[in-house]
Amino acid sequence: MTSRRRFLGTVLAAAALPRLGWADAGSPAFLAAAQEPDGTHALFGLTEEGADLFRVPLPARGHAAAAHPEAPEAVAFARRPGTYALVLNCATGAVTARLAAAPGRAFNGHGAFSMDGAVLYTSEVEAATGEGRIALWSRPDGYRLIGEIASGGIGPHEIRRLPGSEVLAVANGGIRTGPGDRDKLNLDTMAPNLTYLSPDGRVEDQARLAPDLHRASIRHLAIDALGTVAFAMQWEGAEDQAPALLGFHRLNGGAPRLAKAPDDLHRAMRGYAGSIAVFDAGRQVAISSPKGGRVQVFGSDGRFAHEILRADVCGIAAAGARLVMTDGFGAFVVTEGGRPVAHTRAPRAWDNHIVAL
Amino acid sequence: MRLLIAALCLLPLPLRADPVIDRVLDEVVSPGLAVFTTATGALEAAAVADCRATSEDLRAAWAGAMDAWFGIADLRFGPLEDGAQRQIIAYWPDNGGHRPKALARWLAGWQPGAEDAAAFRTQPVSVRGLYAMESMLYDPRFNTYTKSDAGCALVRLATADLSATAHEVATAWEEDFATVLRTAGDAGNARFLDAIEARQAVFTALLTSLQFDIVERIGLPLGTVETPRPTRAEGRLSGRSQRNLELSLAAHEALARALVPEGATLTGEDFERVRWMAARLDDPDFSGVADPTGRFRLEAVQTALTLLRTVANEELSAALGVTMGLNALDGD
Repeated sequence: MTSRRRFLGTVLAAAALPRLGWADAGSPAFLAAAQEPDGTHALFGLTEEGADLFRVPLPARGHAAAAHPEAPEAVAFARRPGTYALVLNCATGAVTARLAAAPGRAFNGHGAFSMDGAVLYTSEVEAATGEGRIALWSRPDGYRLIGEIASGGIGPHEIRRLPGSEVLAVANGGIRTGPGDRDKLNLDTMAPNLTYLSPDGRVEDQARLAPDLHRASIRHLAIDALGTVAFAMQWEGAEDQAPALLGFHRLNGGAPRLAKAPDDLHRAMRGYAGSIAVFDAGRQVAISSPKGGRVQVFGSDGRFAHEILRADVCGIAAAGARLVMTDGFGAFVVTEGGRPVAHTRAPRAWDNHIVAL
Repeated sequence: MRLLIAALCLLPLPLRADPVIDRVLDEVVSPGLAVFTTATGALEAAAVADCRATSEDLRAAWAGAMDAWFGIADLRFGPLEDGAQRQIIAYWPDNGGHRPKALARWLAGWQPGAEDAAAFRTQPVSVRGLYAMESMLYDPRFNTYTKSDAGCALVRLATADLSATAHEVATAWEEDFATVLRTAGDAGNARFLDAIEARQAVFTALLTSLQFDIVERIGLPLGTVETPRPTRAEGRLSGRSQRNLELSLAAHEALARALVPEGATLTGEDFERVRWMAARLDDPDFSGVADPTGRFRLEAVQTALTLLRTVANEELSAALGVTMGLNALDGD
């Protein structure tokens, strides 16, 4: 039975109103969550130069966001184990839908849209077992939960869709957490993977690391226009044993290729990459380490290029041939060739991710 | 005279010298580096004179270097972080328990006459630095070597490596990073884009160091009520866990005072209290955490330090006009 609200929603959606596009939101180039001085949280839309375009309050600490491919709409995800995902109209700042995870499920901080933007995929865990799930939400139906598929592993974190395809790349981090908390329960047996899923749940491919690297949690993804998946890892073993934190893989492309900086610089990453971005038309990839206070840039061939030192840096995103980065002290820095060329500063602590639109 | 004045006018004086940064450099960084390079140099010399773990001179020199480390350990920015020098000097905690294995592996692979300082620099950090030396001098599995054994070679290589690393860190500060800090916000300063970023770096380093004491230096041996972990205490082998904590707290206070010499009254009072409590632990290697009374006392220090950190965060950030970031402490 169609509810009155849904009926009205459908009428409104179908009405001959001019459709809002991203330009109506003041064309933000980036979205990023932050903590404000009073301890509350908000999502910000930013210009390419880092100026604020809009601010949407969030009910709790945010993590990442997924932007709709056409409409000025974004879904902001809570930090895991997440209780909320909010659909925001980025033109008006209005919250247009609130997603609640199904009973026994928790959001894991990331999501992605289908090619046409009709379906939102969210990375989730079954709270009791840590089994990974991808929930499917129908946007035309007001973000109704329409299904769920297995993520192909434990503790899925970031998910991204391959370009020009409905196949999803899923970073199954491998870490089982306690129900509703962040305690890591299975570090001895964790086995992360990178899984490629069709929307019907079929596993198209799955990349794993060598057994001695099983403590390298695959957590974040960036994909170039040709479908090469770059993934960033967080090492859960002894810090001085940390292997490469960056890997590359292609669907049905065999074993992943790993890349790391020369020894001393690699050590300085502290076994931790918090975010990843492909930029410069796929020619460069960057990983950030807030623990090490640095961003390391590699060529798409995996060769280390240079690093940029920024305390508490975590969010990184592409801006053409430039790389932007945000830190916990409110700085938004545009870099080119490893040098800062512009920056803004705001009284807020930027959180882990900045999402390029 | 006119020429002299003209010359003085050409000196690249920073436009906005920050007294906070000047105090940190003058009161903490410069003396701390001087003491540390001297102490590690003395340790290297002592190992050359007598490499054996039974040498009182060598043990005293190592203790001197360990003491001196705390004078710069809070500098969590610049040369100590730029190339993993912190881990090379002081790799602790050794969470996976890799140090004994790594040391045993190095010792087993040693060949007489093959001492190569350059090759040693490629070794894992668990066989380098102050804590590897602690194992060689105090761990009964390692400290019985003679002058012709691999252990002696390792001690000489590692102490020379430590001294060289200390000098590299000091040189990087003197020749470059002190100026980078002082010129924060100047055009061309790629490291600190605004004047405030230099203060921010020092403030964050202090709060991170306080957190390190709470979570690692005290938290690791405390473990849980059910499972205390005295064997995970820093400095257990050498029986200087308490001393390390006391020196660490003294260093935090010195840095806090350099940042905000006046007005941070509550922070000052808290430091006095926490240092008083730590000095009266009467538990040199923290083995006391295994019994309820000892555990209670160390836990009380941890609680007091946690409160101190909150107070310091509020008082110092207000005085300095900075805030605390959140990514480095709890990523995802």
